[in-house]
Amino acid sequence: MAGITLRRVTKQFGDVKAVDGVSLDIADGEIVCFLGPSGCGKTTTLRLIAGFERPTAGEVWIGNKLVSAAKELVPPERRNLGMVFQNYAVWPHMTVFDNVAYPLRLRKVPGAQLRTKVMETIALVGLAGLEKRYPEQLSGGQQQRVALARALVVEPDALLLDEPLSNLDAKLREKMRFEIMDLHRRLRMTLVYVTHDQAEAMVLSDRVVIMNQGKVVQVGSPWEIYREPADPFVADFIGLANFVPAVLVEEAGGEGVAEADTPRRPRFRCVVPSRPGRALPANGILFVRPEEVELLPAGEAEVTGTVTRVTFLGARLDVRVEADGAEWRVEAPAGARVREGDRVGLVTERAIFFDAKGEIDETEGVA
Amino acid sequence: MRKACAALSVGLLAILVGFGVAAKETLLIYTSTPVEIMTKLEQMFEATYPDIDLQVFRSGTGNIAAKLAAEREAGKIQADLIWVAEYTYLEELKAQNLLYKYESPEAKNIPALLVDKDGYYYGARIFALVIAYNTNFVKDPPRTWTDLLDPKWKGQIVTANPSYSGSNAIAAAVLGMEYGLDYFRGLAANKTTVVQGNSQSVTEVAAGAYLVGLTLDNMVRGLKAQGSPIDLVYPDDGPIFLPSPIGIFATSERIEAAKKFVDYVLSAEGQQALVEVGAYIPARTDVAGPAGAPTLDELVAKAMPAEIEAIVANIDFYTQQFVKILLGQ
Amino acid sequence: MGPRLTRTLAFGVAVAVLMALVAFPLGILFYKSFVRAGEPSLGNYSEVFSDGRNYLPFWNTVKLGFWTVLLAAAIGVPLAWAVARTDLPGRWLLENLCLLPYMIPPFIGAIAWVQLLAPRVGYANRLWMSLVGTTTSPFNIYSFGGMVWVMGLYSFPFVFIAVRGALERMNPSLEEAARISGAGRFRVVRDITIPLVLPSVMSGMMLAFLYTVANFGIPALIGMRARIFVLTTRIYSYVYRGDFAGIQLAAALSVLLMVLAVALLVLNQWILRRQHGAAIISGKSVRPTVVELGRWRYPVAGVVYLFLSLAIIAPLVALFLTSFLRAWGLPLAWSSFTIRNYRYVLFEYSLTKTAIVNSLSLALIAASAATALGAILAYISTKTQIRGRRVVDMLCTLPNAIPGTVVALAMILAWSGQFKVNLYNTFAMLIVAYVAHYTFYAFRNISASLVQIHPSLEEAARIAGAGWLQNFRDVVVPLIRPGLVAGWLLVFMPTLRELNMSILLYGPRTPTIGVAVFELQDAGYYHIAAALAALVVAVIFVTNLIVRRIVGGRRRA
Ligand SMILES: Nc1ncnc2c1ncn2[C@@H]1O[C@H](COP(=O)(O)OP(=O)(O)OP(=O)(O)O)[C@@H](O)[C@H]1O
Ligand SMILES: [Mg+2]
Repeated sequence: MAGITLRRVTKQFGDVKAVDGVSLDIADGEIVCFLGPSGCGKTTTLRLIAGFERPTAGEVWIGNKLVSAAKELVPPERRNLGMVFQNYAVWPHMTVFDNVAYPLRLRKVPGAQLRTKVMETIALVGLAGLEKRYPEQLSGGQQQRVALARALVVEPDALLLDEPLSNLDAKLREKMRFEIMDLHRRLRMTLVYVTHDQAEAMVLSDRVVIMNQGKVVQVGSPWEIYREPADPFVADFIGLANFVPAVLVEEAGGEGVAEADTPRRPRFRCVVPSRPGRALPANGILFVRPEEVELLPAGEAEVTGTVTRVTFLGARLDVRVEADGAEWRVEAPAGARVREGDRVGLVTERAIFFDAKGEIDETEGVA
Repeated sequence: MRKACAALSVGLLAILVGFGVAAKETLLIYTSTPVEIMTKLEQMFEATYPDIDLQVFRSGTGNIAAKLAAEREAGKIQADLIWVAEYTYLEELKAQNLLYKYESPEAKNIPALLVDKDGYYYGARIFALVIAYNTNFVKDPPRTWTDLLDPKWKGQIVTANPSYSGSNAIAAAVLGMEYGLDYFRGLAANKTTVVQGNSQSVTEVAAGAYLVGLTLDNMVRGLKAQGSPIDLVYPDDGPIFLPSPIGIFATSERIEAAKKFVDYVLSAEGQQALVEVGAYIPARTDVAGPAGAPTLDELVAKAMPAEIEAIVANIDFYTQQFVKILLGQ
Repeated sequence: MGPRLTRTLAFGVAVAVLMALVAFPLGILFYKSFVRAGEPSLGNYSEVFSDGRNYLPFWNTVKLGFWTVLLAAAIGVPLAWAVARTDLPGRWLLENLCLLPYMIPPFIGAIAWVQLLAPRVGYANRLWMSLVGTTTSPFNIYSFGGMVWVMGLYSFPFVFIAVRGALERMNPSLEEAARISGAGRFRVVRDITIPLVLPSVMSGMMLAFLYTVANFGIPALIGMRARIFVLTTRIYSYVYRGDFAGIQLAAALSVLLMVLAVALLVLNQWILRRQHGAAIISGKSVRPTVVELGRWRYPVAGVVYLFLSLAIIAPLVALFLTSFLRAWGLPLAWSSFTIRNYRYVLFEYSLTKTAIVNSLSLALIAASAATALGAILAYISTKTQIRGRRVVDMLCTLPNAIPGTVVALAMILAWSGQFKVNLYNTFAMLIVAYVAHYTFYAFRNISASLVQIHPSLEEAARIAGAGWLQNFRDVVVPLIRPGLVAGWLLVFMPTLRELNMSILLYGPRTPTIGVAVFELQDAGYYHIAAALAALVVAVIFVTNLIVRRIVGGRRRA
């Protein structure tokens, strides 16, 4: 078992900086998820850890051993890692048993011991009885578990998983997610997990690493990432968000009041705490999660708007309100009596006030 | 894409039209005359007779015979004329009533020995099988056929296959009757290479792939004139005289045009053409032969004696024996 | 005419043509091989198996195929790997060089190699002799080894294409998974890469074997001179023997050749089915792991390019050199060169002029006929439920799989007067054989286009009131146009320089380009043959460029 450390790792492909000065400490036994939009460098980071790519600059340490640097590269086969590839990469010409046994054979584990270990691992991932099958006779989920068993069988120092569940249906994905957590609880190895899927990251990780354009933009617990996004990109990428251009109207003792930058008065306003180490900007963007907006009867709040759409989501309602030319998304309890066309008031307790220079990626939108 | 297709088709059509053959009377001849010689002869003939299009199918006598056999089996002989070296084959065709009897007005101008006694064909292209050698490598060439059995020529001799080349079939018969099968065994022991036809064997000697060859005198003269390092010896024990006969098929639908071609090759103009393009020995005394070549009379006097009846009787046997001994087939 | 009637008529005509072109001749061939003097008999076969002249060619065919595919694999596999998986410089060039022999007909390859390796006269031999100062030459093309060498060089692209495809499609994480499991670079090659590409290697080798077994040009121009006969050349010599017994023996040998070819195909299918590699063909386009050759990059490139220049470029250069010589074997001095040979084949020699016109017309007609026939048959096979359409499938595929020599002989037996129709020595005979042998290409390409047309498109046209013919013309044909064009070209190009069938079917008035080149070489007019061959090579290059433009970079099938 070992932790993993990245020190200012950069990987350049031609003109593209796929990974750009990433530093990160992953503790022994920790589960860390890499999350970010497509092409942001997650896979490349994982491949740098595995040793499939040589860093252009920087260092990778596993435990207390330097494994990758621009001039130094311990080949993947000597890193004692396990890896599950996005597309399983189960060898089609070997049975389930042989697939799982292969890493042990390379380590010259004697026959009887190998057999027990392989059968044990196959049982662990819930494939007992299928060991004589060829991959083509297995479902996608089963193949994925073969890949997992193959990665686990040698009890690696760390397990690298690259979007391992992306090809599964929602049900199976959720089940596998919990199986992975379960395995981790039992085996306690370091786990680095790449995903596109924020729900997956939230459920699994001790810490989440958000990447964008090759850079790490935020590292933190799922709660922190959700509640205290470091910038509009993270706020936008994780969960749903309302963004309102605003100006600071008051400031006192680490707190201020921001007011929406709309022509009509009264304007929407709310209290904004200043964030550690940063002054509140004069001009900025107000960020509010939909569940933090409260709907009041028209007139009870300073700002009123018209309900344009109500979508029933089971436990909650997704309400869209048009106010002062902006569209708000609000999450209301299922029992709330709102209908399209109603006039409603909007208030919020909590908002974050970002510097206006932080850009919002329009294409990601409100996910 | 459509444009490209259109361009392609237009281009192809243009090529087809460019080559377009105007409607003329087409005369088809089966011959073993070498292609370059035959092409020039064809051009000269067509210049004299612009409304005749002479088409040439050139191959060895063996192939031509096979083709004719197949055509007869299929019910129709395509050719109008035949002109090969193997005069015994024309005897055979004559016996099967496949030849048209034609008394050419030119017949009186050529020696009697070149005219079929029954009037079905004429010896019109005079050449001989001789010993050729590469002058770059050989200073002291063999003087007789039997000199070729000297081990110093081992692996250096080339000749054509008598089952393909009519000239070599006749030669096999004449040499076989003179020296017996031991002569063939001797050639085999000297690792003689057997190629298909004489244009091939002479080319190989000229190029130096082999040092000596049993091949045709006119071809050697032709290549020598072009500057190839090749020369020939009329063996002391007699070159094989080959008066390649021309005949008309009785089945031809273009007898009149065919007659014109026969007359042409026998005429002074035709013989002159054969001397020029093929370095053949002229069949007529009123035409001068190629430089350094013997006259017809000199050649006949020197040639190994051969009775046509004996050759007819023996040619198949010696051809088969030659192939069996030298090619193991 | 009612729509049902036109449809039935179109189908009926197409199927009747298919029967007349394929089923009937092959049936007759089979039947004739078991008949002697009008009596059913195994006499032909007992003669085949008791006479060395007959069974040795069979054995030689197998031997030639065996050594050729070994050579083809030895060349094709490393080159495929280099193109697909390394950072060798100039891989685009490398790939095109490797595909070059695919475009050039093997008989021209044979002629080109004769220029290099003919005993004493070949340029390579001359170079050696002048360097070493001897008069004995080291190489002799006229040998079994010479045949294997040339055949191998012209069939390795089959292995190359199959293996490169497999290597490119193979998911690189399969190999990376082995690395991370603890396998070193070479262990991965042994345990993962080789087992996964092996079926493709085998399949490429099988196709190369089939190609070799069916080839006539190389064994005829190289082997016959060395008195080594294979089945195709032995059949040829029997046909040219001119008697009926010869044809019967040829029929028996043809049936053997056909059995050999079909057995190879079945074996190939079996290998491909057994492959557990369905998963290696991932739908996504993968970025193959590229092996960085590091300091070996330039040395390896040097070896590869040197080999390709010697094996592929040098013979073509030799061919062009010879085509400018006044006579074969002349020293390479200015005084030896002339353009006379080109003038001769293009403007003077009537046979080559006729041959060029013939081949162009034949290719145009055969390609158009095969495309029309292939379109209707493909429609029957993919768009209808007519019973027996599997038979249509098979009858389109079979004649392409069996050697041209066999198809040609079947045509001679069926259509030279025995059954009232006599096409012997005619233009029609060549067309019939070409269409039978090559309709498969049109059929396959058009079928592929047709299956992509959703039935609703056609149904919409029918509901709008279009009859079957109108529907076919207005809806189906425009939709499958790319398939039609590709199919047409894939028939046009090989027929333009066909030899295997033409050599048995041409008549004195119907020579083709392939036949003209072959006959010139065979009769010893090496410099003239070289000129015509060089022209053919040039035409092939140009048509290939045009075709690439038209088909848009799509790979030749
Ligand atoms: N071998 C390579 N050569 C060139 N560019 C590469 C290579 N590998 C990755 N890149 C580029 O580097 C960037 C990061 O790629 P990477 O695969 O790490 O993204 P990712 O975050 O895993 O994306 P996804 O979520 O879509 O899998 C992309 O712009 C990609 O095009
Ligand atoms: Mg990725």
